[in-house]
Amino acid sequence: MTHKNNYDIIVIGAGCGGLSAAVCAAKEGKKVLLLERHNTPGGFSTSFVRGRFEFETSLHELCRFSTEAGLGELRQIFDFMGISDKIKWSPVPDAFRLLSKSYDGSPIDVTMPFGQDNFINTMEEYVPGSKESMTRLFMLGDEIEAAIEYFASNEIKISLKEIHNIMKKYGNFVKTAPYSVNEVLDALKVPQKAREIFNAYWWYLGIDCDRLSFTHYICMVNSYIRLGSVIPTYRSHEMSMALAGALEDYNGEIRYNSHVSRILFKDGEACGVVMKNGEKIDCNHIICNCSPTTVYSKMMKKSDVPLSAVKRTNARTFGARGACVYLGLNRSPEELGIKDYSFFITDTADSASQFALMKTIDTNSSQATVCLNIANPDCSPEGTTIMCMTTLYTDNCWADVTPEGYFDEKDMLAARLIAKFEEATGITIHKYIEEIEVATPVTFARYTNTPQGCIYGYLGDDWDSVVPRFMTEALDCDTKGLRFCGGWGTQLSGINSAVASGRNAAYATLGDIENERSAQNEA
Amino acid sequence: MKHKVVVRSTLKDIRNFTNIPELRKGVIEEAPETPVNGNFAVNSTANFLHPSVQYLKIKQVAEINRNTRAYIFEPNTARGTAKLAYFRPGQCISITLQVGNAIVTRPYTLCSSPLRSVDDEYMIIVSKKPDGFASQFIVNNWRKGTEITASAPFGNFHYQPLRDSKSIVAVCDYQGISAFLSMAESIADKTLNADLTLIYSARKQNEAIMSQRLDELAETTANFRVIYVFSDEHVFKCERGFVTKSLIEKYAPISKYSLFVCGSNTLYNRIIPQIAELKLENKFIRFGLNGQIDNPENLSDFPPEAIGKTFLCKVIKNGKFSKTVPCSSTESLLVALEREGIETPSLCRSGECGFCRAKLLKGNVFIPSGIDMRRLADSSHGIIHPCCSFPMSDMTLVIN
Repeated sequence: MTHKNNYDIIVIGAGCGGLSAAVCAAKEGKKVLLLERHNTPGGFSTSFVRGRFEFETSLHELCRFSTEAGLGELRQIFDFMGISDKIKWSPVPDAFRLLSKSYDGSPIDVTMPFGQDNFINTMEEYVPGSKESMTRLFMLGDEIEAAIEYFASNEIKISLKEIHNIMKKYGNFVKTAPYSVNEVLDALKVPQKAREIFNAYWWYLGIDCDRLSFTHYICMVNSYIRLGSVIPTYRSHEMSMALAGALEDYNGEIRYNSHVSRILFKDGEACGVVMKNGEKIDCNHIICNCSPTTVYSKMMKKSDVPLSAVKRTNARTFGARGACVYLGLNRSPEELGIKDYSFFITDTADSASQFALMKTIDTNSSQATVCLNIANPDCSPEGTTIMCMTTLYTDNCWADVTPEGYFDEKDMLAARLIAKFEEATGITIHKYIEEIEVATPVTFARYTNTPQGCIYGYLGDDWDSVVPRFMTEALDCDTKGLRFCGGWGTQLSGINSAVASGRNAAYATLGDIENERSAQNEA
Repeated sequence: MKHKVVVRSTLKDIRNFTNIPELRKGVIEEAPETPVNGNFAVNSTANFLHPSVQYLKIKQVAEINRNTRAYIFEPNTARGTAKLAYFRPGQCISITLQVGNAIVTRPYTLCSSPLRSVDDEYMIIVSKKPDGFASQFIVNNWRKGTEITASAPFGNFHYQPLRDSKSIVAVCDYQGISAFLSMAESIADKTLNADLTLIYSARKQNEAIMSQRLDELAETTANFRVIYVFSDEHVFKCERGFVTKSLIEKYAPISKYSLFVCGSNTLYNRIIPQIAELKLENKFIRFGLNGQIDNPENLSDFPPEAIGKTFLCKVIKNGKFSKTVPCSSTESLLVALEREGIETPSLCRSGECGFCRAKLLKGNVFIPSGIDMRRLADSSHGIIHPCCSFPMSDMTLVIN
C-alpha cells in the first residue's frame, strides 16, 4: 500500500525533539505525520506505574524554563506552542546537594540554592574567598547566554570584519568558546574547592570538565541558577502528552506502534519511508529524532549515505549510557529524613577521575538522585516516597552482560546505588522498598532503540561540542530532504536542547520546502 | 562588557575561536570511511530479552487431567525465532490466537524454570474452562507441531531480592500454580535464591494439578515445601478447609516473610480479608495478575442503568476509519475489537501493563476503580486501557 504525497513532512520518532519538530511544522500549516515505534509519546520523557506509584522515567529538572511566561528558551517555545498553561508545574526548591570528596581528601557536603546572589553567598560560606571569582563567573554567564541567544538566529561568520564586530559585542564569548570548563575556571582563578562544587552539574551533560565546553556548561548552569527549575507535576509524560495534543490541535497526525524500517531515496534525495509492516509512505522531507548511527547503518542503503556522513559518524564517540533505580518507599520523606530534591553523590569531586570510575559496572556507584516528593509533595500516597537514582556509564560496559546474567546484574546495580546513597547520607531506605524497578542501558536500548543504551547522544567532546557543531552545522546537512533533531542533533541532549533542536529542524525544513518552491517557480 | 576575560592571550583566544570549524572538519577528515556500524551488544541483549514477537512450536503435549494440558514449546526457527527469551520465574507470555474470525490474546504464566529456556524449552499449563473461549480452543486444537505466536516474557509478579523477604509464603489455587511451579523449579536448579512455602488450595485432591511434580521438588529441595488445603475432602497429611489467617501463620516463618498470592478471583476474594488480618506491610504482599474481568456488572461501582445495553464503537486505526463495532456494556472494549478481528495490541488483559493503550476520542467508558492503572496524564488526555474499559455510550476509539 502506498500513500501518495499526503504529507509535507514525516517525523521519525516522538521523543521531545520529534514532537517539537512536528508541532512547529504543523503550527506553520504543514501536513505532518509523526511516526513512533513505541506506544507512548516522549521517548525518555514519560512515566510508568507500579503498584500505587507513578514513576518519572528520566527528568530531574527542566532547564531554561521559568514558571513566569516568556522567561527561558524552553518556556518561550512552549508559550509559542500554546502548551505552557496546559501543564501543571512544580518548582524545584534548591539547586542541588553535593556529597563527594575534595582533592585534599576532605568530605564535601554542600546544599546549593537557586538565585545567583544566593549561590555566590552560599559558596562564600563554604569556600571563603570565592566570592569575587564566582561573581565574575556568573556575569560571564549572563554575557554568554546573551551571545548564544544572538547567534541562535545569526550565523557565525569567520571573516576579519565579522570577528571584529562580534568581539565588540560578545568578546568574552569569543575568548572563552574554544575552551573547556576547567580551562576557563583556571583563568578566572576560581578556588579549587569552589570549582568542585560549581562543576557538580557536569552529570547532566555526561562529559568531564577537562573536556566539557565552557560555553555549553555556563549557559546551562547560569540558566538553572538564574531561573530556577521546574518539573511537570504529573511527570514528564504530561509534557509529552501536551506536545502530542498540540500536534493534533494543529491538524498533525501521530501514529504509535509504527516502526519505520527504511528511509527511501531517489537521486540522492529523500522520497519516503517504509514501515516494518511493509507500508510505504511518500514524502520528500524527513526529520529524524533517532540517532544518525541508526539511520546510516540500518535505515538507509549504503549507497545512499554520503561519504561525509559516514566519516562524521565514524569520528564521533557515544555519550553516557544511563541506568536508573526507581524506588517506591513505604515511609514519608520526613520519616526517612530526606530534605533535598536533588543529590549528586560521587566518589571524587574531580569530574575526570569520576568519569574514569564510570567506565566499568563494578566501580560505579555514583549517582544523581532525586526525591520527587520534595518538589512535588502529592506525587505519591501519604506516608510514601518516590526516589530515582540515576547513574551514567562512560563506556560500553553493559555489552559484556549476558541475557542469563542480566537480572542479577540489575539487582546488584540497584543494591550498589542504594548502599552508596545510605552511606553518603546516613539515611536508611533499603528496609522500606515497596516497589522497585531498575532500568539499565539495555532497558533504554529496548524502549528508545538508542545505540548501546546511550541517553546523551554523541559525546560533546572538545572538537564536537555545541559551538563547533553550530559553526559547521551546514556541513552536517549532507543528505537532501533529511534532517536530524533531538539528543543526537546539533544541540546535544537534554529536554530543552531536544525541543529547541526540533524547532530548528522544523524551520530549516520549512526553508528547504520554500527554496524548492521558488526554484520550481523560476524553472 | 564590564570586565574582559582572557584565557590564554587575547590573540590566542581569538585565533583558537576562528579555528573551531577547521578543528572539527579536521577530526572528521581523519575518520575511517568504513560503513557506519549499527550493531551493538547492548541492543542485541535488549532484542534477545524483549523480542517484539516469539514464534514457537509445540514440542510436546502432556495430558494432566481431562481438562488440563501442559504444552512444551520450542523456538520455531523456520519463522525466525532462533532462541527463547530468558525470563524471571513468575513472568508470562501472551499468546495470539486466531479463532474463527476473531484474533485474541491470552497471557499464560511460564511454569518451567528459566534455565530450561536456555535449552530451548518453555512450558505452560492450560485448563479448559467451561465458558473459556481461548482455553477450549487451545485444548481442542493444539497438537505437537502446532505453530504458536507469542510475546516476549513480561510481568512484575516475580521475586525481587531488594524488596521481598527471602522467605516467601505463597498461596494459590490451580489457576495460579504456574508461577509457583516455575519458582520451585528455579529454586531446585539454583537459578532462584529464595525459600518458598507454597500453600496450595483446592476443592479436591484431583483439582490440585501438578502436585506430583511439586512433591518431587519438595522432596529434593531443602528450601521448598508445599502444603495442600482441600475444602471438600479429607486427605492424609493435608489441611482441610480454606486458606485462612491462622493457616498462613501456622506455616509462615516467625521472621519476616513476603506473601505471594496468585490464582482465581474466587481465591482473591476469599483471601483478601484474611490477609488484612495478618497486618503485613503492603510491601510484603504481592498479587499475580487479576486477569480479565468477565462480569463487570457484579462490581459494586458498575453503573446499573448500563446493564444489558449495547453501543457502537467507531474504530480508527493507523489514521483511517477501520470499522464500527457493536459492543456490550458488560464486555471489555478489547474483547469487542478482537471479536471483529481487529488487530490491536494487548498483553496482560488486567489493566496493568498499558500495552493496549488507546485514545477515546468520543464517548464514555466504565473503568473499575480498583484496577485503573493508567498514568495520571493519560487519564486527563482521554487515554484508556481497552482491556479493562467497558462501553457506556457510543464512541470513537483510536487504536494503534
